[in-house]
Amino acid sequence: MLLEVQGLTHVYMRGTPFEVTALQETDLQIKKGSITGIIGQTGSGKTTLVQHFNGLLPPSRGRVLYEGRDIWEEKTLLREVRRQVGLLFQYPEEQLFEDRVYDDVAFGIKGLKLPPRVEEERVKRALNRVNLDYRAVKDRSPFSLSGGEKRRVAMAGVLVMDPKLLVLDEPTAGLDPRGRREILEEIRELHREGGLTVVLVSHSMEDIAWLAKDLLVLQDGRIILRGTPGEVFAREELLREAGLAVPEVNRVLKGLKEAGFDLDTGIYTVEGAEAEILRVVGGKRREPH
Amino acid sequence: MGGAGDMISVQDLFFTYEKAGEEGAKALNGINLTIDRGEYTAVIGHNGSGKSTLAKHFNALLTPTAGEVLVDGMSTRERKYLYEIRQRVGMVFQNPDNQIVATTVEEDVAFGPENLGLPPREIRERVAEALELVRMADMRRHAPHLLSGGQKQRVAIAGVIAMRPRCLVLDEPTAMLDPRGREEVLQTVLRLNEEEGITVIYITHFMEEARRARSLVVMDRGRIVLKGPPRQVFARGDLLRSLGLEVPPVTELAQRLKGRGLPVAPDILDAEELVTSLCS
Repeated sequence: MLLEVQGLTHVYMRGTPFEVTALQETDLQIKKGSITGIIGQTGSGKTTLVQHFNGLLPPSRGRVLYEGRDIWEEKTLLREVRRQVGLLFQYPEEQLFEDRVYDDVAFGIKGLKLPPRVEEERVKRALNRVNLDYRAVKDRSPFSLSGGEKRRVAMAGVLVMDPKLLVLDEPTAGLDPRGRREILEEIRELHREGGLTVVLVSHSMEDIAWLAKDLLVLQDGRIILRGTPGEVFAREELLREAGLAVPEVNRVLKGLKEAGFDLDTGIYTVEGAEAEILRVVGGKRREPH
Repeated sequence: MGGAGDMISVQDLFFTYEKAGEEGAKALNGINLTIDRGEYTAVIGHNGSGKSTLAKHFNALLTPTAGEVLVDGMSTRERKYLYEIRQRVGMVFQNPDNQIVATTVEEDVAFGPENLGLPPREIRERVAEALELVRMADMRRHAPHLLSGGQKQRVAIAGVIAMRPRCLVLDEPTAMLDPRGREEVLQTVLRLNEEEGITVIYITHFMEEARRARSLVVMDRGRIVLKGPPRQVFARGDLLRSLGLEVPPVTELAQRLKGRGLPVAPDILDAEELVTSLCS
């Protein structure tokens, strides 16, 4: 198990009149090589939860284990965990600050005092991994880039640390359709080709259905549902109560089923629905006359 | 000249952002557009296509480098019309946190009317009415910063409505909201248009939201490349994709099925239509 959360409770401003319990008795496991989606309304505790994954917040109760060890056990371990668990915040481009893309990406490894060649190699590789051309962008100002490019520079700034677990909090929020598609494809690539373990927090059920293999649903600081996208999206009522919706393409399958077609209604992506409808409707049309 | 029914009329509009010592890039490159009174128009286009620049011309936050923008027949170039134009066309932006100024919902909504120097009774009436319209009257004494994103955005809309505008321009009002917040804002805007007759111009990256408009404008590189009812515009899936856009997921599914030889109508907008089309 790469990461494990046991009985995690987080209380903000404890002991004050503003005390808020953001997470309650949460348990979860992130397997090596998995790709997990976390969904829930604003304020359901998603961001608080992922900030525990690399020790940005200390638990009020409970434990966070990285490769079986409590990350708060000793300081050196915590430092190591922060390198191995890369966290990309919401609107990360707001945190770009250097004059050159190169320096922004290299920022996280400056402290390692690597030989210049090695540092350069790592920056180059990180930019390549987000499909930015090293030569073309390294000397440019991050502020001269498009929204999608800026976000990819910020992502390269996390990847340069060579994390084993990449945690992305709303990576496509505010991007235009092309920017959104590119980021999602890059995440899938990093997972498939690069073998990265990925946790993705998102408001977009379409993105989650397309990318995630495991899903966690949060409501009021608790995990109320977990399973494969098929298992989770099958619980439409519960999701609606949690302020979420099932991807709309699923309604097409359910509608066809009601109309008498014998098909699988546990499909939530455009590609999946296309294949299933072709199988059934196409098949029906080919029936002997 | 525009007709009597025009809320906004844009004629040969060019706009260039001035940069010190540089030849600025043309952000708007010859726009012609008429928005009828009571119309609900969505504007889509990739980042940098000129959507927000165009929107800022609708209430004279920007004025044309060349060409003309008329609001209820008043040119945005004429300084004497500025207050009148800003009162008629209200703007709502992406980030609700940047638009909230007061410590209670009620005071926040009162901010605009107070600045108009209206008598206190009229201010109270307008605030009450605006909060009612966005369904936030119950929360009038709440602190805005403790509201959800969707609620904050509705308060921002109420603040604009309290100015009694004839036209509401919303620039990606749901970009930072969760699904429930997005639906709340969308429903609010639809209602203001249908029940109050307010003209709406709605900029968005969400095609599911754009399809709810009566008219859709597609921008690319400072030009309008396509305009029409959503059904007609989304039928041009290939063109939209080549512009870095997409069509709503169900429309995409319909177009793929059609591409694979199924007899599906090309202009499907929602799940029910696709089911009907496949069953017929």
